[in-house]
Amino acid sequence: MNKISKTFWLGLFVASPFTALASLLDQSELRYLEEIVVIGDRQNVKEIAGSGSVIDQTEIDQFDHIDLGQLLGSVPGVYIREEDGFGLRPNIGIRGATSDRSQKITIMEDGVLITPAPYSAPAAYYVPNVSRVHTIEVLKGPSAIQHGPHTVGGSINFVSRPVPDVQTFEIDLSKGINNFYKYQGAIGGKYNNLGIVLDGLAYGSDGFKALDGVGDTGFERSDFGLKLSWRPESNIEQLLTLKVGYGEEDANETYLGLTDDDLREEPTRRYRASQLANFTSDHTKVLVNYGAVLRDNWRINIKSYYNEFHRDWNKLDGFVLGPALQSVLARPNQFRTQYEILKGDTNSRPINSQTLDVTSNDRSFESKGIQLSLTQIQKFGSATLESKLGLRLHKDHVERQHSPVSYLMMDGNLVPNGISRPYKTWNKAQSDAFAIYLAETVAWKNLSMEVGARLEKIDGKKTNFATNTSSKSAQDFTSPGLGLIYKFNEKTTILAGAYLGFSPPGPGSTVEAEHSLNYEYGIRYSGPVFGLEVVGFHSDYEELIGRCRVSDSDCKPGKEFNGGEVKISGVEISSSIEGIQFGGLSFFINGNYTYTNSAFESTFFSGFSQWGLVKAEDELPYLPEHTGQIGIGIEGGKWSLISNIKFQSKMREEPGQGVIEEGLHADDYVTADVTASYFHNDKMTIQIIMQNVTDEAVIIAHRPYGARPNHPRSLIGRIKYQF
Amino acid sequence: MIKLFTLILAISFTLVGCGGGGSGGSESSQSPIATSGTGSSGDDASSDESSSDDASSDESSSDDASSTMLLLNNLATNIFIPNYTSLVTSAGEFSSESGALETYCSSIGTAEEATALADAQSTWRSVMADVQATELHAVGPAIANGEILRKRMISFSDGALSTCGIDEIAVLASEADFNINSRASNQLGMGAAGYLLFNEDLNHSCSALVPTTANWNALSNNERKAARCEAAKVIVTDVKNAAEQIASAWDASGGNFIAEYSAEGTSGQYLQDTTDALFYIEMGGKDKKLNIPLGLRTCTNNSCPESVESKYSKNSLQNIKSNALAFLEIFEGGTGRGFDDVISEAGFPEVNQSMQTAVADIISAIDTIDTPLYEQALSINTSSKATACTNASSNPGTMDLDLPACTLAGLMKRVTDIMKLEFVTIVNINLPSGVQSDTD
Repeated sequence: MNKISKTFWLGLFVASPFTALASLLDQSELRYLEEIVVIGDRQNVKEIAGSGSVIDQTEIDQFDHIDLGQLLGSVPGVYIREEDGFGLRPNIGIRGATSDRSQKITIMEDGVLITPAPYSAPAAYYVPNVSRVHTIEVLKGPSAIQHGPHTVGGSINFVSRPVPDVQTFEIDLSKGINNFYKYQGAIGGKYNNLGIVLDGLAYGSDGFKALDGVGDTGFERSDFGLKLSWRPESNIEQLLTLKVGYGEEDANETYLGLTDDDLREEPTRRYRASQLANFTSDHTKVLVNYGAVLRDNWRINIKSYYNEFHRDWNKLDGFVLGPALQSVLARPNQFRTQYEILKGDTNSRPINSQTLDVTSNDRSFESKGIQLSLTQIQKFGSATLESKLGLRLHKDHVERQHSPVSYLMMDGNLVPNGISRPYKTWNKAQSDAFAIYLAETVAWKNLSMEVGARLEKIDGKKTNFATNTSSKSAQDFTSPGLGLIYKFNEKTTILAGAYLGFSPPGPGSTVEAEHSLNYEYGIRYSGPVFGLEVVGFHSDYEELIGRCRVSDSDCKPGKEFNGGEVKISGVEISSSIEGIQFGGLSFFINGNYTYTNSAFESTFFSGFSQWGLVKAEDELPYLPEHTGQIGIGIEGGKWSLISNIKFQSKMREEPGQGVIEEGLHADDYVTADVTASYFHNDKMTIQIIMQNVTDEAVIIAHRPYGARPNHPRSLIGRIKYQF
Repeated sequence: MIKLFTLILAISFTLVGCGGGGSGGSESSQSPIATSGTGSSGDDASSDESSSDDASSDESSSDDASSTMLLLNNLATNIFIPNYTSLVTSAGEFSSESGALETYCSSIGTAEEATALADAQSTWRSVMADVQATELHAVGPAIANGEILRKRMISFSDGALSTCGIDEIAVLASEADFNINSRASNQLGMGAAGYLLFNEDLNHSCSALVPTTANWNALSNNERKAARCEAAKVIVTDVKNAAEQIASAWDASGGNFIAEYSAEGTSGQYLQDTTDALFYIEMGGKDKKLNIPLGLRTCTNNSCPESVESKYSKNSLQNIKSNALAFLEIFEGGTGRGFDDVISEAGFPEVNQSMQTAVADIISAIDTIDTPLYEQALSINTSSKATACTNASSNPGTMDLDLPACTLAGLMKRVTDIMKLEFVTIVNINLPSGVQSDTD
């Protein structure tokens, strides 16, 4: 055990909640018995030791978004790289942590890990359906170490629909162009000590892309949840909750993009070579949650969770032998035959360099664990000490079985050539993890200080069934953190913090763990009309990890590479002006902006194709220098009109410095969404939503394979009825 | 529009002054290089531009294609085609009526036999060097139709020789209806000719059930030597014919493959094919010719001496030297445009220097090794010897005097490491299938 670990255990003993002191639990916090929130509501953001954001139900409802990326536009310091235009597989990064498949952030639902295998396969880029989510919380800064394993950037927690206090029935129907539909319903209430809520969601679209010739590019998703709660009458406050959920997806989605020229000409086009693309998944999740106030000053919560996720993505992975798809689409003039084959304009000759590889990327995931948290609040005169201990035992695994089938392009159709091929990938990665977290928060007069540490101990194993080999790995890491908040007055607060972030490599990997020393400092002003928050951040990364995906050439999916030292810094600004009354109308305006600067510290060549040649001072790919959103709204008695304007500067897609246009990059863009709502009465709301009003068409990325467009203009009508 | 936002909001962040970056004496877990390369590498991934940049994008892409076409045309004109032409000449002379083979065939049983055999064997080594050079550019006609022409010149990439099949050819070659084209590739090429010229065991290697060779062992030594010599002539003639067909297919006045090879529309594919072929230095030169026989890779015993190429002629290390020389010639493009020019233009002359040094080290090492590879592989017969070989391979800076071939394997890895990382990245191509991206 290293020195830090010893320090950690010593601190744990000294600060143990069993060193009981006279104290008092704030009964108003009973609502946190479930501990499914990591922040709480917007007001609580001001209390946490670090920066964070809460997107509440009102904001989620405003634009009827199904795309988490669109919702997270209101959170500074969060970077989104669209992929399919609907947000089915978002790429989310926080404060410089790579957005690629959301692999460097911790994603939770109701306070427990929700991604399919967060330790063994962090790059599964799964997120819950945001339409069923009640609240979204984003934690950055020192508080992020409460929720591992990935703490370099931050964490996102999705809070599920709560059991309503009164009997509730809700139906929510949306319909839009491209045959978009979203049907949602919920029913629930409380009956004596029992509570229940049942909700379901089905949505889909024919897709906004048109496959050359004939073909559906759309998707369907369905998702159901049942939550039962029992609050027994006893001497202590306690609550037992059972939540089960099941979801499915069927999407004709592809990795294949376009050449730049083709996208400029017809952004929503899709080549014929993607005609077999299909993604199917099913997800089962169970959460048992028990919380109790043991004594006046003690609170305990125990959660046990189980997630099973299976997906199979049948998609074009390239040519059997020959040029990478990225190369063909970047230089179609030099790969004319392959380019014509992708379009279906030329028939394949029966040679490997003209034979298309369509692979069934089949993966099964399982994730389960139990976690406990113990909270004690003690008062010493005018000082309050809150002690929090968290423990988690977790196991997860992923089994990958990638089976290629080779096809010839014949008269625009993919025809199997009948040659059998062995598995491309057949392996299983599994992890056993133990995590412990301890925090002490001292509040005295206007100063609040939180000191915490997180220890992760991870044992991993990877078995390659194709070669009958296996490798093991063991790692442990301690992340200490310190956060300070000082209230000048009720309106103005300054904050500062530092912590050591951590992102573990996958099981059996030989690369070093990624860790970063992160600092933040800022000021918050919150007046009755005007609010402003300015937070600077700086991260010193060591051993940045790059992780190959199927679309990365020259490496196996999941293979990891170290990128040495990297510095990332930036500033987040968010502000709001609300409550302005004029002519019987209420006006508000809010906005956020993030500036980010990054630099590799050394010059090297990397086998990770997303990096390749890296020179010292090169900026990281997929980190836009400028990004943000401005929201403007007018509210009348029974109606409202709100517009969100998002912007992002050109974004590098490979390391580089100087003129961004000289390297692979995504376009800059400004898009606007507008929503008009009519509140017929307190039960029924009618909405018209137009997204991307100006129909801005840009290249949002060149990965996985080739140029990809953003979502074009769309129009959605919605009616929501609740009683 | 975005510029307006940027301008307004830039005021905010300048107040914070959160500059990132700053270089330091950091170390990299990847492949550290000198920092002389500045500015854009001008590699091909930069072909995406916004609509306003389309013109420059097209221009850049076109420049890139021109550069590639120039490279390919030079390689074909000044290296590939001359190599095949040279092989046609050397193999033709070797198998001609006045060549070293005929001289040997005629001398069998005479006082000149030993001298003539030595001369024939020496000439075989020379022709073999020409064949080995072509292995580094097995693209186009050589690998069409299941690599049939390539395998007629040398079949080592296809697996072990069928010595019994070659013995059958020795029996059948003098028959009027014998057709060399009916034989499998593992009975053809310079490897088969080497077996016939260098194998001192005159008995056949077939099972007793093979009727063709049933009477072979009863023949006199001279009869068997003569039959083997005649078979070698037939096989070397076939090598010459295969090389001739390839040269003709490339030639502008023949099949004119060179036009297709260096055309813009196919230049990307053929650049990839060419670098795939150049990776013979990894899959053929390093792995198949050294690592497997020495037990460093996919060998279930301490070593696998039976996997040695040219074990009868003990020419294995010279074959690797020929490969290394040809590799360097293609890398440098001879006197014309080569990959080194691409790399220099990208700002990394030190990578060229590293590559040239690494190849020179291989050649120097081979020149100092006296013990044939086969014998070295045979000597690795204990686990401690196997460990010693692994250690020697891992520390190629010091020549292991007991197992120099193991040191050579480590020197080969230096070349292939540069190929798999720096070369692939700068030249902007992909690793060929079967080559792992990690550096072993």
